[in-house]
Order: sequence, then structure tokens, then C-alpha cells
Amino acid sequence: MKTEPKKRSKSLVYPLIYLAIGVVVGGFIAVQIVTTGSLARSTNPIQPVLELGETIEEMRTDQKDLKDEIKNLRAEVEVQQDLVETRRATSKELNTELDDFETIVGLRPMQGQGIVVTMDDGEYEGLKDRNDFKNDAIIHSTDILDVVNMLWVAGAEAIAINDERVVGTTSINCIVNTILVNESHVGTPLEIRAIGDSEELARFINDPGRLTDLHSRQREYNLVIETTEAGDIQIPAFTGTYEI
Amino acid sequence: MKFSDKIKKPSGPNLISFFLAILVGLLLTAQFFSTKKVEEITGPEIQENQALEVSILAESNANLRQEVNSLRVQQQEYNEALQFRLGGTEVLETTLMRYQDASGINELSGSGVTVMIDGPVLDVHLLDLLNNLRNIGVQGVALNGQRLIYKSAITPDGLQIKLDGNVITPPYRFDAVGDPDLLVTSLEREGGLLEQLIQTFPEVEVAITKKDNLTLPAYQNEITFEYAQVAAD
Repeated sequence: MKTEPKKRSKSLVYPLIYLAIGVVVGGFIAVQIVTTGSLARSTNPIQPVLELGETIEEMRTDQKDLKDEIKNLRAEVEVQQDLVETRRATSKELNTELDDFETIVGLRPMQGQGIVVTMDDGEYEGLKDRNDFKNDAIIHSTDILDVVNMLWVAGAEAIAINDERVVGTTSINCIVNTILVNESHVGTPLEIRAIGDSEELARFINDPGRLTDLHSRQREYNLVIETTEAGDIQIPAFTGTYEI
Repeated sequence: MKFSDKIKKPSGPNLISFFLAILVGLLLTAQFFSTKKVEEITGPEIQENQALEVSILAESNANLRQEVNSLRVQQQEYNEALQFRLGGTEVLETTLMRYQDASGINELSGSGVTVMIDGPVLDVHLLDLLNNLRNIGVQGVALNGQRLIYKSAITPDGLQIKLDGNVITPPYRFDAVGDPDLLVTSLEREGGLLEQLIQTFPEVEVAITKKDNLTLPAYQNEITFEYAQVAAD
């Protein structure tokens, strides 16, 4: 009498467990197939992201081409301006003034003594996520802004971040792991070149009493911030637009 | 059956359970990783950021195309001037005016906004806001009545803030010439710089006002080059 119900429940338990496991496994297989299958088709969730990535690449190429074209056109216009000058005596003074202002607004490549400030992310394990804005081991756009500001304080006369000339309209921004200067992508390691009194420029950047946040992160997270003085620093012309 | 149960020798059902458990484990892991991977690539944040970069690039390229067009027009005007042996100075003058305005050496008038910040903010907050204004797009900016140019620096000086060597005190007032609607919308953006500032310093008061006509003073100092020379291309 006692063993009968026990046996009956035992004989029911196993099929029920198998049924449950079977349903779960079937479910997993189905989901897996659906997920994997959809990857190869137009509903592939990764596809739009890849396409966006391609678009960004194309647009960056366009941007570079346009900047090259502007550079060439400006050089051609310059030749014409000189021609106009030689034809007309009255425009000589005007042309000299124009040259001066083109220099001031950053439309001329510059050279002279100065420094290169190299900045890069620290080699600090476990903190490599640029999405984390509190991440102290990586270079943020605000760090570049601070260094550029300090170089102006130190008497810099012209500054470029990688190939981007810093002018009156320049902004330095960051979208996750992309740093944008003059709306153009700049990669790490960053090279900030500045023309001016090289000793003075280096002194301001390396002074532990200035850029204190950067210096403490340099000690703690091996954040890279190095200065190299040089007799001949080359700084490219601004290739963007002044139209706003 | 009774005997094998007692010594716990693997029985048919046990073996089946064992393999099923492995299979479920494998499937769970595969499912977890494939979902995670797809999420990693397609996460809303990443897509949003990509979309943001696309829009920035689109705007930048549109501006660059405009510059290309305006240079082509300039080129043609010079060509005509050279061909007919007259004119030319007008083009020179227009270009000169444009660069003088861009340099900050002239007074500049136009519509724009005024941003007042009253409270104990730091030099970096003003620097960030200036960067923000340049990012939105301004033709000229002044801070507390001083025109800002490319090499303007904002630094701490003890508890005070210096702009290009001159002490400035609160309230801080940015006057920016540019598209007022665009400036206001961008500055008031949720999660934007100003909102963050107010959240960090609740005692700081910020007021943004559209202006139909602002006049920015000219930059006061001389711009000279002692170490930098124009390089050959």
C-alpha cells in the first residue's frame, strides 16, 4: 500500500524532468538557430553598425580630400594674389597686409624652435574602457584642451595637434574613443607641437605646480605626457573653413 | 536495478542526465556569448556615437565644400582681373576683411547669445564652455568684455581666474556672435556642459539670453611672432 504511490510518483518524476529539460534544450537550440540564422540575412543586427562604420570611414576620406583641395586652391589663389600685386602698385601694401592676416589666422605653415608634447593612454591594466569618463588612465579631450591652454600661457605662437592646426575656431572634443580636433579624427599617441621659447614651453608643461591633475595621473596610471625640445618644429597650415 | 542503484554505478537515466546537463551548459554558454557579442557591437551607445560622428562629419564636410566653392569663386575673380588688367584689389580687400574678422582684431557685431555664470566656478569650467561655444560654431567670443582669439588662455591665479593675464571676477559673461537659436538649443541640451555645471555646483546661476545685436570688442593686445616663421609649403 505504501510502496505503490511511491513507485508511481517515481515513474512520473523522470519523464517530467526529461520533458522539462527537453523543452529547455529545444528552446535554446531554437533561439540559437534564430540568432545565428538572422546574422546572415538582412535583419542582421550587426549590419547597420558595420554600415555606419563604413560611412564614417568614407566621410573621413572625403574630409581629407576636401582639406587637400582647399590647401591646393589656397596655394593657387596665393599665386594669383601675387600676380595682381605685381600688376598693380596700389595692391602691394594690401597684399602684405593680407599675408600678415593669413599668418595670424593660421593659413600659413610655420616653423621655428619649440616643443613636442607626446600624450598617450597609460598602461594600466583593468582600466582600458574609454566609455568610462572617470577613467583616469586614458587621455581625454579635456586633457588636450588643458595642455594647449598651458602652451598658450607659456607664450606659444603656433600650435598643432597631430596634423590639425589650432586656430580661433578650433574645438577639441571626444565621442567615446574618438578625439576630434577641427571636427577631424586624431589618433593616439597624440603629438602636440608648439613653436615658441622651447625651454619656457617645456618648463610650463613639466612644472608639478601646473597641470596638476595630469601629473598625478602620470604618477598613478603611467599616463604618457612627455616633452621634447627641438630647434625646428614644423606646424601645418589650417585646412578648414572660416565660414560659419 | 536495485543493486546498481545501491552502489551508484552509472545507470541509463543518470548517464542521460549527465549528457543533457553538459548539452544545456554548452547551449547556455553559447547563447550567452552570442547575445553578448551582438550587444557589444550593436549596443545603443555605440550606434548613437557612430550616428553622432556621422552628423559631425556631414556638417564638417558641408562647410569644407562651401570653402572650396568660395575659393573657386575667388580664383575666377582673380583670373578675370588678371585677364582684363584691372580690378583685383576688390577681391584682395574682401579676403582681407574676412581674415581680419576671423582674427579678432576688429570689433564684431551680429546676433548671438550672452551666457551669464554667477558663482564660484573654476578656470576649467570657463575653458570648457569656451571650447563648447567654438564647437557649436561662433564667429567671435568675448569674456567679461575681453575679446578671445586663438591663443587666449584662461588660467587659475590663486583663487582668482585670469584671462590673457588679466584677472576676471564673477559674474562671468560670455558674449558669442553666432546663430542664436542653434547656440541656445545646444547650450541647453540635456546632459550638456551647463546642465552638468549646475548639477555639480547647485549654487551657480546660469542664464542664457538671445541677442539680436551684440558688439564684441576688438582684441586689445598685439599679435606678434618672435619664434615662428612662415615655412615654405
